[in-house]
Amino acid sequence: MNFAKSRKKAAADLESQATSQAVIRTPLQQAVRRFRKNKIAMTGFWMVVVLVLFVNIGALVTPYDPDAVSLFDINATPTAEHVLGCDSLGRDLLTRILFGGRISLAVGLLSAALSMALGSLVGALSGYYGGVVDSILMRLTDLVLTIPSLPLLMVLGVIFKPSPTFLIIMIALLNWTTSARLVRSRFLTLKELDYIKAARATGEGDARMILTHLLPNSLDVIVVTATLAIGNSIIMESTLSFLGCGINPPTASWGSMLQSAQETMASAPLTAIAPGLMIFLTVLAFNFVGDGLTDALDPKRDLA
Amino acid sequence: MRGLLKYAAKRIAQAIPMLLAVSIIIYALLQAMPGDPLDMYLENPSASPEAIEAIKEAHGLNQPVYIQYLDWLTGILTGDWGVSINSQRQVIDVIGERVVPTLQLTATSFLLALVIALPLGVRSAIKKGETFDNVTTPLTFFGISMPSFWFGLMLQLLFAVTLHWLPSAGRYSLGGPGAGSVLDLLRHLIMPSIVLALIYIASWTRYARSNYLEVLGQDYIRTARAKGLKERVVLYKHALRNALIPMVTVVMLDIPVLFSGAVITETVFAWPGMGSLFFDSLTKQDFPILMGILMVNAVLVILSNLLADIIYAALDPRIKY
Repeated sequence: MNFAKSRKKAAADLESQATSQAVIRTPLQQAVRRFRKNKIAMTGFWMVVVLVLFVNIGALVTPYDPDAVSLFDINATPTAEHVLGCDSLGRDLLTRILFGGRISLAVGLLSAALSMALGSLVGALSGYYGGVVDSILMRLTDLVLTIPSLPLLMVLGVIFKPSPTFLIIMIALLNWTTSARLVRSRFLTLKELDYIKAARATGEGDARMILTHLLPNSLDVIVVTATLAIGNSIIMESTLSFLGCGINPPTASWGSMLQSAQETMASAPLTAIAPGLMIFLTVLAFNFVGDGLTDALDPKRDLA
Repeated sequence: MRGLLKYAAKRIAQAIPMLLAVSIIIYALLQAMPGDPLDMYLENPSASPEAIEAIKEAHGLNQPVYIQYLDWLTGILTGDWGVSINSQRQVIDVIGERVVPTLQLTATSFLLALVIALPLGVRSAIKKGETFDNVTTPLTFFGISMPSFWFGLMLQLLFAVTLHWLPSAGRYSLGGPGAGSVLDLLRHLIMPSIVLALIYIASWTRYARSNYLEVLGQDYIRTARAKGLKERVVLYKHALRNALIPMVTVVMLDIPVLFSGAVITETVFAWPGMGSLFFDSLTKQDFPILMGILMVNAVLVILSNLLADIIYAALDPRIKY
């Protein structure tokens, strides 16, 4: 009772002290502030917002069917009706970019999220329990890292002719290793800290320890790796689809739209330029955000 | 030195079961490929059932899977990598003749990336916050965000299709003056090697920059400056040498990734190396060749991991092994 009172008093003291000097900000507010001050990060953020809105709203309002073939419009140059022209089957290029963008973004975001969940789970179990669990899981991680992922995904793509959902799972299954290692090493660091030891001493169970103490304190690592993983997944999906081992025609994705680009780019350069530029800008935007988050979530930044 | 040898021996001992596990996984996956490699014989009306049986016998396709795997594994170890289903030639020969083109491409890209990335990274660390750094660092973002196949397409569109400065694909010209010369090879090498190198130029520049910045903040650098050493000596001798140690690991670990990246680059530029062989064999479902290339790649990964650890341990006296 006494203790609580004195703590309240101390807090009030601190508050009055602080208001006289500067505003107290929670770590999250500080991070948001750092992020908003970072020009590159904010550019990336707005690029992501614009891209997501453009692709999703655009796909709703476009008058064309992305898969509708028109013999009269083969490799048509841009006109008022077809703003970016048409591809080698006479399909409206802009419409296919919008629909393809939805697929590419969905594959990128969802496989990044899935690989993050998987990686966090493996990393958490490995870091928390240590010992045999740790050695088994880390050997598994090494094993996945040893298999060359792009060639393997190509083989899987040919075997399974994947649907978008399946492609998401495939990419995630080969991409969780980074986050597993990072979460594991964060857990190892946290376990040595006094407040975690204190929580342990109060008799918290394993699940509670992981879910309420360790994972929330690893969120910064998870968020940063996830953001950077989005760009990676988008590149991976588009590369696979370009090579014919990912999203298969006629379904449009930015990568699958480039499958025949090599033959058509001499006569219709936009069919080769536009989808790739979209991939590049999207990945760039997510990487800008990821880098900004790395800096913003590092509490040491303000001291430097 | 003895400690290092012992450490190396231990790491090699750990690598062998890993390699076996990978070979099992790869084998199992490729067994799951649809389409029997014998389909093309089955569709051929002039192929008698006896002939098909003979081919099955010759390829060992009648045996249970684990026997087939063990056969394949002993074959790999003794230099018998099986026979290509597509060309009926020894896999080791088919892959062997692609090694030189791939090495030409990957080695060129590797050197290109190293020669550009290290000075760029170090310089932008020294000039942190100044114009040089403010231009270089955003540029590295472009490099890591670029899908390499599209970068290749765009270079082809600009320099081959539009400007006609460079050949769009292949390793040598098919004819005409100078076809087959070293100069011809170099002209064909320019675009693919730049495409393959781009991501490493970008990511190694970033690594070099952040490593170098970290080293510059160390006490021994302050000591070096405090004892009156010339800034040049501090920056390029004391700091550089220490910043290079972690770079060795990063660069070594990227070597196998460079090889798998060559799959894309070689396919886009029709460069006749292992990467384009992999892609061709995939479309033709030439199982023994795919196995061979995947295994070569896995061995490279394990070898470069091993070397990275051992070199790091040898270079950094603080490492205890």
